[in-house]
Amino acid sequence: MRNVATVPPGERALPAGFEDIEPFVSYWAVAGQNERRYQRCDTTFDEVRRFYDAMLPRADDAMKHLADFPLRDMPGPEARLMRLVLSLAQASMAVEVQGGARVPNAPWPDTVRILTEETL
Amino acid sequence: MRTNFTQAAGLGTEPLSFEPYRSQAYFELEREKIFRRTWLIMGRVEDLPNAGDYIVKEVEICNASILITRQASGAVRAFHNICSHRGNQVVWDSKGSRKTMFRCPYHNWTYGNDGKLLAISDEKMFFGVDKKKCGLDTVHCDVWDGWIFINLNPENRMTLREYLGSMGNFLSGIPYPNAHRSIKIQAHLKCNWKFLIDAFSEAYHIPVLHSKTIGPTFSNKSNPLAHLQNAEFFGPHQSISLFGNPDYKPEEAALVEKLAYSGMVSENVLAANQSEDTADLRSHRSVNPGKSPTWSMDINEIFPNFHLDVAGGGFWTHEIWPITQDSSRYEMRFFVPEPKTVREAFHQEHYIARLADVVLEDLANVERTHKGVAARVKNEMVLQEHEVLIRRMLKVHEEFEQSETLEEAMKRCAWADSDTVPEPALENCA
Repeated sequence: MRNVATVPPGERALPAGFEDIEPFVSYWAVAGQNERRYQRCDTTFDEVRRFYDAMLPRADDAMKHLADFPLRDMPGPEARLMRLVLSLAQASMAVEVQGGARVPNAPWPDTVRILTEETL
Repeated sequence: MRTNFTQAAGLGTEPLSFEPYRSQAYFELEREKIFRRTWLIMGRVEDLPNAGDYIVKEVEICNASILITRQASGAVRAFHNICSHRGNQVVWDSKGSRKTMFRCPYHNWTYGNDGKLLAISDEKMFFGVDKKKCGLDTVHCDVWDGWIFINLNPENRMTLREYLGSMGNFLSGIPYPNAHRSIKIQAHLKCNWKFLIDAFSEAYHIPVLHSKTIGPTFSNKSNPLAHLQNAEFFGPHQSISLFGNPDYKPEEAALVEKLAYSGMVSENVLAANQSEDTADLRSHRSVNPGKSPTWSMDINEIFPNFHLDVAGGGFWTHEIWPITQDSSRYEMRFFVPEPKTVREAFHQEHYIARLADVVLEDLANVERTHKGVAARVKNEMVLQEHEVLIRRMLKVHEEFEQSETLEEAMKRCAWADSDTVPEPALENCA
């Protein structure tokens, strides 16, 4: 599985004011909980930590900005910002709980799949 | 805290054989005496909300593919998903909506969602087929409190209500919040299915195996090894209540966890819902039946492979399906509200991310355990008081394997029931 968030030509990657976290869009702004979990597990702890450290101080601002848009019908830049916020929840399991990218001593790749009725 | 669950369950204290977890002969017995006889969970009525909706569920150990449909009358019916022509599966996807006819993708034989064969393609080239005799084969199907079950024995005469018995009465009427919306965690494991049942049947492992993820939620200084609060036994079914740490708070450094829970007033970190949305659930007589102030959740084990777990923050289920002696399919469903804001979606993502890690800690572990047991170095396991569900489950298996019928097995399993729970008043039965 290779997940990438793409930015259509002519569109901003993220809403104005969030340029500092644009480098994280292609890897972390992917749609779907299962995909975001995969991204967190399929990289190094250093990379997860780098994203966590950059995203954490922007999360509250991001959620304030996104509060004005409908959750299921956001413009492209807002949708990508929302997915970065959601990926922070995944990354926090590595940084705040496990102290490593993944559950220690568990196989990777694994057969675990998160199946949702809607894809945010 | 002294308890005597094992004694109260009428069980011995001796070590137990590992053979049921590694013997092919035993697995064959489970197929015939358990999975082909008992009522098996298929899902919730909310999985098929409208007439014409359907789901398909696999029961691998019996080679069964089951099609469950919602009739125009509102009734839920089940059929073997097998075409009367040459035996292919008629429905190839796992769910769908508003479809009252199914066309077999092999040769276009067409069935109604009531199982009747409606049309045969190129019928005149056949040799006098009686369409009335070529419908889909019916499977016994019944609904209890919104849960859909089937029974694969065509000769079965025990109703679902009789099968659930006192356990059904005990749990009857629980209001399930957000039963219409679930997130599934699914995995395939290289282990005997009973290791999965066991993994979710005791709390002794929680402060150890899950020390970082949920250990601090289920134990504290007063109960460091997560001793059980209560246990109830109902024929082949059983129920335990787990301890909860009432003082749990996220660690100082857990900034994202704090942010995720900042907009919520919830019961504990395993909460998918706001407290106010689970008040009815928590006040049910059989949820936290001891009404303990240090309670986290109940594990309700409906024999043979269904856990219906209820906590202050909502409910979830485990389904554990044997595939072969040493491989299994695991499916956990968390019933969660529809997020309306980014903050709610963020909380839900955090909630599920944590649970996926917890579950993976268990899943990696069951494969290691299977390997250890299959090595045939050790022949027995030594169980303690708070692993009573495992000891009792193995005894229930023994009773089933020695019985010629489901009726006989159920009688044999009544050796140490909790006080008989009266049938609830009719209005709670719907």
